[in-house]
Amino acid sequence: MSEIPKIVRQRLQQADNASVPHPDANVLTAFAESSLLPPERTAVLVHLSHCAECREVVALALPATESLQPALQFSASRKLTWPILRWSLTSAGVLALALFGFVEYGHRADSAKMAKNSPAPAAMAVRVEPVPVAPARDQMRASEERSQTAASARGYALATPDRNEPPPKTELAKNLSAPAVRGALAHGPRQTNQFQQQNANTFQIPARAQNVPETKQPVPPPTATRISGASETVEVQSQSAQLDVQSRVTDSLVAANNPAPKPVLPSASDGEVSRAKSAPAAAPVAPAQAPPSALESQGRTFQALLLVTPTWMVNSGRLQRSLDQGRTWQDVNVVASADTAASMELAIDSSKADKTRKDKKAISTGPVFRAVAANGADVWAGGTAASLYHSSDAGAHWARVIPTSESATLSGDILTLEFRDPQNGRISTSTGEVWTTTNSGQFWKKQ
Amino acid sequence: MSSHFSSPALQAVVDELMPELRAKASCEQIGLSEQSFSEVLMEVGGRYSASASAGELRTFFLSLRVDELALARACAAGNNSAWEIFLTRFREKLYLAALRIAREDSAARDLADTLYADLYGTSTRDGQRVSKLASYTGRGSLEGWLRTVLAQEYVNRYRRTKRLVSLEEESEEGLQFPAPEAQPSPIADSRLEQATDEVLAQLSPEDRAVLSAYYLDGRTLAEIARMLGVHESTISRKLDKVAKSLRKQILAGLTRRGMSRRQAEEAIEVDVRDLTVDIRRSLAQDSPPGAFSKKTVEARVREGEG
Repeated sequence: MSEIPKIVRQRLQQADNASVPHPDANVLTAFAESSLLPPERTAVLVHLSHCAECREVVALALPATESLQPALQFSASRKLTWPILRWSLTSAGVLALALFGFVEYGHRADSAKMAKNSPAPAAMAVRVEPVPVAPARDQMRASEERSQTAASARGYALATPDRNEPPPKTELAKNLSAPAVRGALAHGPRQTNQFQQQNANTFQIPARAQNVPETKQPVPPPTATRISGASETVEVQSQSAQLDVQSRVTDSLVAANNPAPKPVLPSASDGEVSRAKSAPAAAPVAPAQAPPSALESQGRTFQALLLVTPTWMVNSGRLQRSLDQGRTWQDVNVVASADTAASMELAIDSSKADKTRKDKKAISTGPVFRAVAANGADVWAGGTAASLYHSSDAGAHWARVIPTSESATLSGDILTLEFRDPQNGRISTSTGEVWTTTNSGQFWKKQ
Repeated sequence: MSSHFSSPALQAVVDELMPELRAKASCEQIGLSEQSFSEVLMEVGGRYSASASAGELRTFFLSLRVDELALARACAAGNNSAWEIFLTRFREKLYLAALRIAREDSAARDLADTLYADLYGTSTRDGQRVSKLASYTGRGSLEGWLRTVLAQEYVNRYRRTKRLVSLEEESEEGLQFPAPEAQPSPIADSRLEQATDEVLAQLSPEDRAVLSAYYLDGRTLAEIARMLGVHESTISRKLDKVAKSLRKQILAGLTRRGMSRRQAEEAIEVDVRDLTVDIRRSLAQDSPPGAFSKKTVEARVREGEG
């Protein structure tokens, strides 16, 4: 901002001692709320231009802004460092990979023709071809809506068309070749683990999973011939799918191929049920550690997408974040989140993760965490001694929140934290208190 | 309460709008009779303007926060259910606002408690409890009004304590004796002051308020923007523009008053205090640490050469 001559400052100051009566609090309030009529507003402005006292009153009486202000103020000093670079790198990566997928689509269309010429996969193609594409597309759209970040949504928007177009039917057939399917299903067990961890009662996974191995033995001839070239995994896959409506075959395959980052809010949609079902069946054959590299470009795109929405858990008092759907976990030092540069490295380079984790442990002297709740990038973590922290940027910056109401302040250890959406939350403590908020933690109410 | 206008026009408008306003204010719930509500409206309307037309009055009444007005006045009248509603709605917010203003817990509690005492009306007049809520007129939100009242109280206190402290501090710094107007070059000084005052007087109230808030009060652009209800970029653009044109206009004013361009530029750069206090100080220290801005020094060098 350009400087003004000192004489201006001096003369302003000298004239700045209005001895006229100050406007009434009502008028000042209405002024600040922009609800004065124009002539009145001008009169107040004239007074304000001469009265430092009233300017100060108006400034002090401004309503509170976001509670995250301290955290944001801190980050202002290091603009364009990791917080921003990380997201731009991630989104640039997603875009680049989506483009790569587009190019790959051309390749695939070619190889699909070749696939039709070879006999065994052609049989599969015939089996899958009559499947209506629409449900699959709906499924994709639904998962798109559920995925929390804009970046991942964009990733899908770019990545999905080539899979929903008619030619990809044969692409599916191509994916049925053994290594590819193994790679695809490798995502299954992990996700199931998370479903069980977070919402075990939503599905009846164990019961279904028991049924699958039984039906595995008497494989009906058509199924067997259909995937003659494929491994046992595929048999189980198609078998379990046969129990459902035919179209679910594509659903579950697409779903299994598509580890959408939505472990936080599992929904009971058909596609997911069948995916969950297929997962345990695949487990014995395709261990979780199977390299997903078989999926080539798709796999990498998904990995990029997974970076966007982290998964959270509390492990023996430490808050941990996973940026790859639970494969690796990193401690997040909430208290010393001042050390952002270090924590940002976790996101980018998993090879450095081990090193930084050690560093983190050295630093970490924060509270013992008991509970964590996340809605996309909005994360709450609570623990001993009424420590409650909030981050609205997926853990890059944290702000301590102390729930208070007119007469009380939250006490004891926080035992549970529930945020069914970013606005509505509930906390219970070791002292038997229950606190709720309906406005993202700005105000709390004790019950 | 003091201004009980009983202009017939006002009475007519109040009567006309009464059913609508009463419904909006949900008077039954807080136990405010039609009679007393009408009195409140008459008083508020009379305070607004005695000479407003019926149309203006109608707009005015419809823009009022009658629900909060009714609540505040019912509290002021000592209605218990109204107090209950008031406390559940505002108690917490009031403490939070006090905390934001005082930025320190014990001072915030003290501030809020003082306001509570005023709101309850501990001070008595003619044996009657007088609540501060009776002065709320519904022109802004009740919450905003509470914040403003808190801020006023805080500023008043702050000024009082500051005045006590600053006398000593200022005399230590030697600021107790600011440059008397009749010092080194009284003619140039008065010309500069005249030119500056002239330009400042031409500023629009808003520009001047923004200028003062930014350069005198040290408010941030964001704060000023929120005070005036505009976007931050508007303020930043305005400040830039005003600061530039100020300089130009003062220079023009000085040349009109018979200064050469160079004299004018030199005059505008020199702080009046530099001429009195700082020169003395810098002479004593023999190295002038930034007592003059670069431009002035350059001007001096040029002057010496020429």
